[in-house]
Amino acid sequence: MELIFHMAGILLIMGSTVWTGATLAAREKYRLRDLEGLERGVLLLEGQIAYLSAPLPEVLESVGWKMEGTAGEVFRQAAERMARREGVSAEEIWAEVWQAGRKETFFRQEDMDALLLFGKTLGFLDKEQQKNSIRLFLRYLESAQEQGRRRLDKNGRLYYGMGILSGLMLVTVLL
Amino acid sequence: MSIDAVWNALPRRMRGRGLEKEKLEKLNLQEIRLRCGQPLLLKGENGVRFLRQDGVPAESSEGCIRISKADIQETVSLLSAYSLYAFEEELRQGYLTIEGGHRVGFCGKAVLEGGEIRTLRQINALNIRIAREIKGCASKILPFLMEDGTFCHTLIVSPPGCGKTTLLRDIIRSLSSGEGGRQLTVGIVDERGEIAPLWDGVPQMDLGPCADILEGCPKASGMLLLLRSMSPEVIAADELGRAEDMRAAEEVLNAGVKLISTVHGRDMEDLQTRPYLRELVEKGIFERYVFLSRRRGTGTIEEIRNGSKEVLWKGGGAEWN
Repeated sequence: MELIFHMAGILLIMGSTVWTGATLAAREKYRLRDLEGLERGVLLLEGQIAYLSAPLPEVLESVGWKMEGTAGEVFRQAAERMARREGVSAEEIWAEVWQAGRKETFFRQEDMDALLLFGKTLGFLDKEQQKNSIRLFLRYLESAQEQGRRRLDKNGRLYYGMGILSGLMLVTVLL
Repeated sequence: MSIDAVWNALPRRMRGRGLEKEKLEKLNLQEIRLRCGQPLLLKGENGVRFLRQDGVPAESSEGCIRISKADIQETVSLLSAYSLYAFEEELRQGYLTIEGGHRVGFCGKAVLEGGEIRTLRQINALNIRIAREIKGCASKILPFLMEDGTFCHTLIVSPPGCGKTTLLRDIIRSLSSGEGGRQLTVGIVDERGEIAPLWDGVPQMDLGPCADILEGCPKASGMLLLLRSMSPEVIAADELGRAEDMRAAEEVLNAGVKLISTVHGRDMEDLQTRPYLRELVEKGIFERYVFLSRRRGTGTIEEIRNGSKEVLWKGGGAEWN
């Protein structure tokens, strides 16, 4: 009976430490997925602004439907709020919808900062300046993904390994 | 006219200081001016007012809220529906038409390319001109513009700010609605989006059921395009002045289409000093001249003359305010 309890305990400890390691690795993986999705959306946004000169609420709505996940939903919410024309600035709308949607994403604080900074440039720039601000944000997204991939390559296995090792260590200490 | 679009675009710190939309509407506003570092200026029928700290429009500019660069930026963003980049052409021309038909003029730093204005940057002043639509203001003069049931070639003449465009718009609405007898198809060449401002393709003012609007097109080519494409019975264009406008006007007249237009001027003598217009006047091409002033308020109709320059009506009392 005691052995069964011991075995269950070991499994529990090992399971939770491995799960913690996997979660840490997955967070980076899912963040990369979110960043990729956002980059795709911002590229579409750039195209529609540069070549169609379509108004921002219209662009966000149409791009939002072409995107997957939370970012698409956030784009559509921003479009809806802007279309209501309640006298609120684009920056505020952008910040509010992203802050509300953040918990559904795996973005880090630095990603949120870049997103909010990008929001500050929405609405009052001419085409050339607006394109430049989009390019700047795209550059951030590219470098964030590159760093994320590197971190995942380097740390992904490490997180799993650490999970297993820390589990084994705990089991050894406790036994 | 509703000023909702203008109200929603004013800087929020102005709207949040006790200034109410109803108060603005009561001022019967013609213009709202925002200049960096200066107080918010409200120009109405009864003169100029400045917005005080407590949100009350006052005659003196002392102790008034000063407009900041951020206020201008916020207003530009809201006026352009967060899409200033989509209005490059308008920015190049220095103005933008917004919902409700109101017109916003910009001042800033011009960016030149090959000697031409490419865009405006660092916008530092805005002039929001409140669109006026006074339905029925043409009803008193419409009978004078008809002869044997036919509409006459008409030229509306006045100095700036006397209501030429408002009168022209109501004449178009009346003709298109059949108030002058039969409904006439009116083609409108609205080069600067003043006669029949469109927002998202929808006319913001009532022009009746038989009006076709060509916006943003130079008058001369617009008149000829309408002539070819829309079979108008009347062509309306604002502010004729250039040589090519006169040539196009002559083509319109030769095609048997009636022409109604406006021009800056004070009286008949003034018209005859204009290099290109003089020719049309001397040839007696226009069959009616309507002279406006502000003597008794905007839209005071001073006199109506026929093509032989005989006075058909003289008054000064048909103002609409």
